[in-house]
Amino acid sequence: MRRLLRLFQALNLGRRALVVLGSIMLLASITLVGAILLFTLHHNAEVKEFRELAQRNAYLVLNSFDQTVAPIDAALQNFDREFSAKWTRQQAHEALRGFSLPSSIVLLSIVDRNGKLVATSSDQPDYAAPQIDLSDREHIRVHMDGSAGESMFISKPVLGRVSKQWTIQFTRALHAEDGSFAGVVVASFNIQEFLTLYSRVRTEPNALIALIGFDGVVRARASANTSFGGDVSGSQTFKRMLTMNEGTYETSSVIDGIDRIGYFVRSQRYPIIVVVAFDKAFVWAQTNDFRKVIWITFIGLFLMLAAVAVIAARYLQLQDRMRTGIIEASARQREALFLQAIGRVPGVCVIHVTVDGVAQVSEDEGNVIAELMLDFVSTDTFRATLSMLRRPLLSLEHFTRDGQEYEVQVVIAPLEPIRPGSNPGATQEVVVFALDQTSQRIEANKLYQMSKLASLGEVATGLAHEINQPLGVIRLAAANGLTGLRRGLAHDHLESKLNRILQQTIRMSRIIDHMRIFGRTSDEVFAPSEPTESIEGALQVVGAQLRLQNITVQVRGHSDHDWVMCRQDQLEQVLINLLQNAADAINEKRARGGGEAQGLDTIELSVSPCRSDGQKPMVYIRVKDNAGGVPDAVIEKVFQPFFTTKPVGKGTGLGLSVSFGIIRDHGGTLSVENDATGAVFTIALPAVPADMTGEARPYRGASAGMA
Amino acid sequence: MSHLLIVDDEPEYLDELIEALGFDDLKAHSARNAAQALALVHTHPQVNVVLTDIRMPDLDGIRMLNEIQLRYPERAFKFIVMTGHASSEDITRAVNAGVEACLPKPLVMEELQRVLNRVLAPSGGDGKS
Repeated sequence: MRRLLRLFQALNLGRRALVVLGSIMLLASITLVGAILLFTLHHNAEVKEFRELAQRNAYLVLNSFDQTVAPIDAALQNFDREFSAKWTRQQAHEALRGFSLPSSIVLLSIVDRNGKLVATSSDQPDYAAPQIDLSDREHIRVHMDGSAGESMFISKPVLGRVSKQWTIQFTRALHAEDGSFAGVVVASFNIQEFLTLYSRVRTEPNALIALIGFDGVVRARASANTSFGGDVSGSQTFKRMLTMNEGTYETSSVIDGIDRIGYFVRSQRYPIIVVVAFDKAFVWAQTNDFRKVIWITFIGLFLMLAAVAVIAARYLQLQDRMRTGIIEASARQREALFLQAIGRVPGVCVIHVTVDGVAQVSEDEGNVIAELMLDFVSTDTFRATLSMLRRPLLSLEHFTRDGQEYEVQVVIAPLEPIRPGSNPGATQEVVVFALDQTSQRIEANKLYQMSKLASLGEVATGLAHEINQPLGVIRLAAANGLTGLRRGLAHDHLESKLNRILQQTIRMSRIIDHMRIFGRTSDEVFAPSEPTESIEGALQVVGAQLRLQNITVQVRGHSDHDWVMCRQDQLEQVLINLLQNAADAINEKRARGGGEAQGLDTIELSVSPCRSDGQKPMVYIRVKDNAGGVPDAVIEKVFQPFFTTKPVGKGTGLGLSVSFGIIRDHGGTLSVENDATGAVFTIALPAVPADMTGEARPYRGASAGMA
Repeated sequence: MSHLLIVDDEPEYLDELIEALGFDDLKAHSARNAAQALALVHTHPQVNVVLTDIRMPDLDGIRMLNEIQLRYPERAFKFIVMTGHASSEDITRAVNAGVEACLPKPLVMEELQRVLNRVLAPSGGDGKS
């Protein structure tokens, strides 16, 4: 039990630690979540900002591209209008030379319908040399097979066979006067134009600006390095770009492997997509400072909250301790008041015993019980008792002072420490309650005497009859003996008379023997006795009375091996009382039901030992009548003092209550129940083995010798 | 000649009483209970004086007397009762039953002698007291 308590206390402590740990974790997670949230918000804003920047730049780049290409396109269309299929190569050369174009166009050329170079805007061609065949070039082929249609084609970056430079070819179909395909005009655009521009407008080293054709080949790309001609047609991002006009670019580049975020826009006029993107690492770096600030704030906040939590815990603990202290004090106060109140009851003494000393709580000085108890608590026996004490101890103590005997009921109650945490049993603090029972005992004795007197009144008539009988025999025998003596009868006659007289006096003294209980206070000692002896004794006293009332007494059973420890006179007194009650009940029944039914009224006395495993052996003595039983309404009350169902003047109502008290003093019980024919009173007494009872029995000794 | 029957449940007492009366040359039948007494009255028609105790285990003495009167109405019985109880209730019942005398126990022999003399005398046979 105590171990369990200790475990609980340990758990309590553990729980407190858990609570503290838990709240710290909670605080940490709250601040952490706050920090992460804040950081995420900031990062998202940053990303969004960069994406928008990329979008704006993408529009600008596309716009600049369109503005760069549109005049070229327009010029090429004009050239087509001026073009004549009948031009000689020289004429064509001159037409090209005379055609004004932006400086970004490094070369303008004409290719005939078979893909053979006709003329360029550069130096005079060598007309004797064979014409350079360009029909294998894509930007020529798309016009020859008509797949480019009537719009301008923008080629992949190519190393010009004519210009010997890396250029993008803007090409358009040329038409004869009848409108049929007559050749291709090629404007070779210097990629460097774009690359220089894009390199210049980039804001960070890894920022990307790229022009990608619908075929997935990069026309121009500016990043840490400038490049062109890369093929991204395999990437998922590119495939997505083809399905949309514009959108977010977020991917790892297939060309330089850098993860970027940005925007792409598709040109509405030319098969070109513009991508502007920023290195994610750069974006991330932009939030670096902010992140640092947030972390510092988070740690600071956490430390602060933790400090607050620790302080709060300390405060609560202190408060708890203070409250416990207050409760403890008030509990002690109440306890003291309570004990004082009890101590004021007359005949009650309360003593508070601690390791430090003894304090009498009840105040009345000169109280004998208090003095006795103060002596009592200073004895070694009492100290020895204390060390063993775990639960309240009830005992009956007898003291003698100035020739007066005192009977005191003592309760020694250990005080539980108020604070559960403290080690139980360490502080041996007890309260001793003492209740003076002396006067109560005296009263009980008086009551007992009174009940005996009451019984005496009832048995007197029976006893008179019982004594009258031998007296009558004695008188007659004496007279007859005398007459015989006078008439000179034989000596034997007188002897027989005297013997008879002697017999009768023995009979009388036996009756008187049992009457002694009425005039005597009880034996102090319990002695083992055979229960049937008490029954015989009781019948000696009341048997005659019962016979006079025509009531048969049957005695059944025996208990050879089980005797009882008792004051035999008291047990007899109880049996007499029960027999008288039974007889009274039978007489009442007769008065009610009319007349005596001869030989039918019986009181049954039975003795039965009871030995059952695991229980103390008992001896039961039952007194059973056939008077119909105790009414249910009063069966609970029959053992109360002064309760009687008898007519006024007939009974005192003390008999059963005193009997009850006597049997209880013997460590037994007296109970009543009704059976089919009447009441059954059962005396149950602890049994002692008969063979243990060799010693003299003080009470029966004298009369047994005479019988 | 009147015949006396003495009924008492105490054998020793009965014994001494018979002996005491014998010293006075008075012979008597004896019975130890009502049943014996009733049987004796039946077998000895000459019995006409009955001296009985009131309290007896089987039948109350006065009831026994009533029973005898009831059974043998033709025989003129004279009854004397003795009681150790001497309760007024018993005495009233005895007088009502028409007994000659009611004697307290222990018996005073002289008193018994006097009553018996009166009852047993042939002149007193009509039962007048």
